[in-house]
Amino acid sequence: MRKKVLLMGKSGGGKTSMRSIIFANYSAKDTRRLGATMDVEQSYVRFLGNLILNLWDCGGQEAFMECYFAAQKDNIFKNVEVLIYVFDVQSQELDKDLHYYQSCLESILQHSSQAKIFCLIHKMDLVPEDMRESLFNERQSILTNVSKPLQCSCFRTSIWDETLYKAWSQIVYQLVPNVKGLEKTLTNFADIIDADEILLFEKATFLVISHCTRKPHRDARRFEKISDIIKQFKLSCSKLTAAFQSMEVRNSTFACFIELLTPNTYVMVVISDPSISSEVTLMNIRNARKVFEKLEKDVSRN
Amino acid sequence: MIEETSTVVNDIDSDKNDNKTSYMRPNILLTGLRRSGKTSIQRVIFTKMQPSQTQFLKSTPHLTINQFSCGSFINFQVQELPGQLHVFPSLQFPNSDGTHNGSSSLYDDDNTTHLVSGGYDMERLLKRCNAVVYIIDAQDDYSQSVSSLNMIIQSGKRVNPRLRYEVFIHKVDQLSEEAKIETQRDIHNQVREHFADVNGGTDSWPLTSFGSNPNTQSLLINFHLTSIFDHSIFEAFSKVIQKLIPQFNHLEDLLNYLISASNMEQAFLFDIQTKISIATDSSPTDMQMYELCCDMIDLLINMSEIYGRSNDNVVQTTEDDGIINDEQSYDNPDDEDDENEGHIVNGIHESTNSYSNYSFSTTPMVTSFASMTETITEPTSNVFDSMSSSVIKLTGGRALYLKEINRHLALICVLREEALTKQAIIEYNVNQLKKSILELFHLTPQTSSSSVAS
Repeated sequence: MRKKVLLMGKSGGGKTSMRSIIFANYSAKDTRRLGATMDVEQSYVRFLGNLILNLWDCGGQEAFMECYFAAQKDNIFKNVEVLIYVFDVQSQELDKDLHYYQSCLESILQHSSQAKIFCLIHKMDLVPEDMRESLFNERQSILTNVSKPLQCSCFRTSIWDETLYKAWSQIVYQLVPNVKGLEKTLTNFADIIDADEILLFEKATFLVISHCTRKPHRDARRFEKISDIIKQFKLSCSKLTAAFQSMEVRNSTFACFIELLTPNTYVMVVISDPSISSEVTLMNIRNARKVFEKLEKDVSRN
Repeated sequence: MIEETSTVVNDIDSDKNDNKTSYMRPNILLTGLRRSGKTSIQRVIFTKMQPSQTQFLKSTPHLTINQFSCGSFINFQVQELPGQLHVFPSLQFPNSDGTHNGSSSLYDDDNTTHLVSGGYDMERLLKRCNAVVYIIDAQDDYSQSVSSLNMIIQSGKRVNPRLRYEVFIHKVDQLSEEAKIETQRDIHNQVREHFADVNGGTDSWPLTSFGSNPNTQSLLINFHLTSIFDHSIFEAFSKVIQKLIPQFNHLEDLLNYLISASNMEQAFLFDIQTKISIATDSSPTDMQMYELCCDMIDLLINMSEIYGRSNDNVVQTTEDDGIINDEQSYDNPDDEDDENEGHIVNGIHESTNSYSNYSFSTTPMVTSFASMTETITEPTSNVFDSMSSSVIKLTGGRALYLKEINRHLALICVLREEALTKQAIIEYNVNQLKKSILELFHLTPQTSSSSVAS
């Protein structure tokens, strides 16, 4: 199954940087090395095994942009599943950015009207902390207006914190086949092993693709934080030419396990009952593997 | 200029109890030319400042003294001597501070120390400290810095021949590997040549009359390549601290026993606040492995902060973690140990049944303090408790195992996955190690205080 994802936005907006961090294991610092994207760079990312994301990273220089809406229009905007439009929050030419965004939407409407649209207000780290909220809300209302009749979801992002993972988790969530079935199985699993929370991560990106929460938690941003934490640790492992395989962390109030679940996913189980020993939980996870592997196979067959 | 009264009080205090403090609270003199990165290093290591934020730090105008503690029982003091005060030609310091001069004469019992007309008495500082950390900015022209270092070593040799010099060749993150090695060799040679000259030439430094041991004549100097933008500064500072811990050899032995008994590859003892490794086994340490261990601590703390914080945890005290209030620890130096002890016992009761029959020699005292530990939680690491542990498996069959030793210290072991299958044995051994370490540090302050009393 192949799904086409368009990544657009002004030149220097950070499209290639975020793509490299999410899909190519770059650290935020590494992105300084990246140069400008010429024309369109296509890449295929195997995501969840049989789902292949076909990323079209469209260079944002004006000459290219004009071209996308003219000669290349059919080629680019056909069969798009997801459009990700990146806005540089510091851009001085908001009107021009919006103009391009609108041309983009017109073409989408024409060729793939079913596409999901995501707007990322990027480089939020450059805005002072106390102004971020209001600035984002302002931009969001502008974009929602401009996007009509299409629906767009807005996210504020920065490669320097976990907000990037939040946005991308939401984006890939739209692309995961059989999300509902996955969620149901996960809930069932959590009930059986009496877990507080179970998260399902895509293996390569460590983005959260599904979750089940049985005990309310105070931190709403924890999923993207965890993606960020694990991703950082994976990066430091790679310096040792070893890769992260599994993890167990505990203190007196919780135990948390991250284990491979299917060939394409990791599962994280959080348990707060101290009487459940590690071995029991690990065995439960091992036993759950068969169920989830079957689920994944069924989906790919359909 | 010492303006803060607290600083002066510290000064007098530490002088009064000279014997005691030199044992219990090792002194590190942190110095180097201006803008070499002294304050940044302290901030990054001890107050967790982001390295990128250090560029906004202002220069330090006067001698500052900070008390730090590592693993709660290793206390040390860092004196930061600002670089711009080193105008050395005559081994004197420019002075503008009369008050300090006045106070310094109070305890100028030694006649050799009268070089300085006022301000900072370098010799007195050198005499009182156990190690000098000298920072050289490798990105700058370092010839002036090296000659200033030579001056310090020279006066140090006279007043404190056993002094260790740790030279941090700093800000090397921008240099290529070759340039790093070249710089280190160059600086090393410059220092060595200088002292070859001095010793061979005039006999103006009668070294033997100061040191009881003729071996102390040889210069104790180490060079480290450091940068605040990676783990090298933590590693270098770890080495400095390790040499100052009197129990270091014992710790190393204990870790050696552990790795041979449990079939491990490596073992580190970390202070989780500062990520200073206070001891390792005697096998050569791999820098990358050290970094990974640091990252493992981050992982553990970050994950625990998300899931491990119990909701009823409202009691927070004002005790500042990394920096211990000086007055407090001087007034009742046993206070801390008691807290620890309470914690230890708590930990043992909670963690394993196998130790429930184990008791300290001072049980009555322990019980009275056991309740105290509940209230002593630290803002940053109250998620790190007696049950904190972690296992991370890597591809290639390697695994990392982390276990709490006390609320500041963590043991991290590197081992093969096969060895980890006997986790019960490892846990038993680690608990034995934990017991030994706590005993080691429990006993030492007592012996030291008794030696002072006699």
